[in-house]
Amino acid sequence: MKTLKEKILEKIVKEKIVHKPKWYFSIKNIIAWFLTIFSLLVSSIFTSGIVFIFRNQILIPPHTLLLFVFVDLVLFVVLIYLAYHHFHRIKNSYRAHLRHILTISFISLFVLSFIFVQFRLYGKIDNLVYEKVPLLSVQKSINKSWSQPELTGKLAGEIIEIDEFGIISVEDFEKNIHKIDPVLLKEKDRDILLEYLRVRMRGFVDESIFYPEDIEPWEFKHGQTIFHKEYKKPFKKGNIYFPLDKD
Amino acid sequence: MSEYSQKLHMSDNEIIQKILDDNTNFSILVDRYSDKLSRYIQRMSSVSAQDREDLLQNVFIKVYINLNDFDDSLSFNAWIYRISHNEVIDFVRREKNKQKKGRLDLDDDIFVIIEHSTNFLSDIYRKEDAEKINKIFSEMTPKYREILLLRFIEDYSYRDISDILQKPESNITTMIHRAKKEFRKIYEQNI
Repeated sequence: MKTLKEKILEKIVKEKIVHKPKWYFSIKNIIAWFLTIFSLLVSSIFTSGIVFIFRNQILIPPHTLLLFVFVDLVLFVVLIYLAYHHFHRIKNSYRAHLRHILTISFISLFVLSFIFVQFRLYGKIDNLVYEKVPLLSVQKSINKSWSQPELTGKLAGEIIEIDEFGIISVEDFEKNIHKIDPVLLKEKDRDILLEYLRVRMRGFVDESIFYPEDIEPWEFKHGQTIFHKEYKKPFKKGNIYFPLDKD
Repeated sequence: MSEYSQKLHMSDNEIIQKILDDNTNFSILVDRYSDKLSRYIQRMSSVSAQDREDLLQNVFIKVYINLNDFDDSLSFNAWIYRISHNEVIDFVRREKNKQKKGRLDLDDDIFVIIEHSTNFLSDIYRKEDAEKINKIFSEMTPKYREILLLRFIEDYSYRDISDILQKPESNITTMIHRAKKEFRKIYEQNI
């Protein structure tokens, strides 16, 4: 009867079992590091996405806002779990204290998210998503919500024409053209029509004309827009006639 | 002194180098660890003699395949126990909860060892018979039973246990504390 030692040696010879080379373990370790860092990076993008959504919450319909925040949170949690999972595949990572892992992860997340927020990376990624899969894009949701004045009482878009009677033509982000009568706007608000190319308005539709009661530039802080090309100079309309009184 | 008996006195790290040069030297490692690992596997699970031998064979084959992954900062002892630990865990998972029925060999000097290794258990072992202590161990949570085995029977340091179980040393301290607590609790229930 064969001893254990004999059986093992026989198996090694018979099945031609060989040592895995050193580079195999090195590559395995590098991949684990890479996946850990990559998961952390991507989770930071989703953190910056949550910040982005809250900063622009005024534009996003409430139900969509919650959905996007929820999806971002779920993806964030999944990626953090993946980062932790891959970290455990790094050689000797078990020696690290949990509190050290957590501290480094939170600092990395905070720093990366801050950088991504500053560079508006989420908005840029969303722009790409908008082109490829519009349904998954925050921009699509915003555009839709601001392009249905009959349903939402909200309209946003680019001013393309103001006629001699002061009726404004606005092209929304879904390329539909709407007629706007600014008669209900306060005088100071009408200046916004002169200063900005793109505007967002709240009001109502009556006989195919949109009557804005409130108007804001589409641009945000420091003249930046979230999705659209930034303006270097305020838009000037030149000689535009605004009747103060329609009669 | 023959060449083989000279090799028997080499350190584990020296033998590993020899194995990488010549596979036949692997038999020295098998000789050195098979009995120890066999006892360890038996203590961790209630496997049959045949299963134990299969497990041991798998452990040594894995050691052989992954020899280049051995890290000098570990003791080889801890590394081979880690592989055995993982192999047993996988086996128990496959066999579904057989580990719960794990038992201790009564024919070894376990109780003497424990008595000399701890303060908290010493009084208990003076009073109780082996059968009762065996019962207590078999009722313990597997992970706590294993950590008591490693610490008080295999006599491993905290650092080595950390390397075997792949958990931080601070966790090992906590786990041993909890394992002792669980041991006491089960003991009290059995009085």
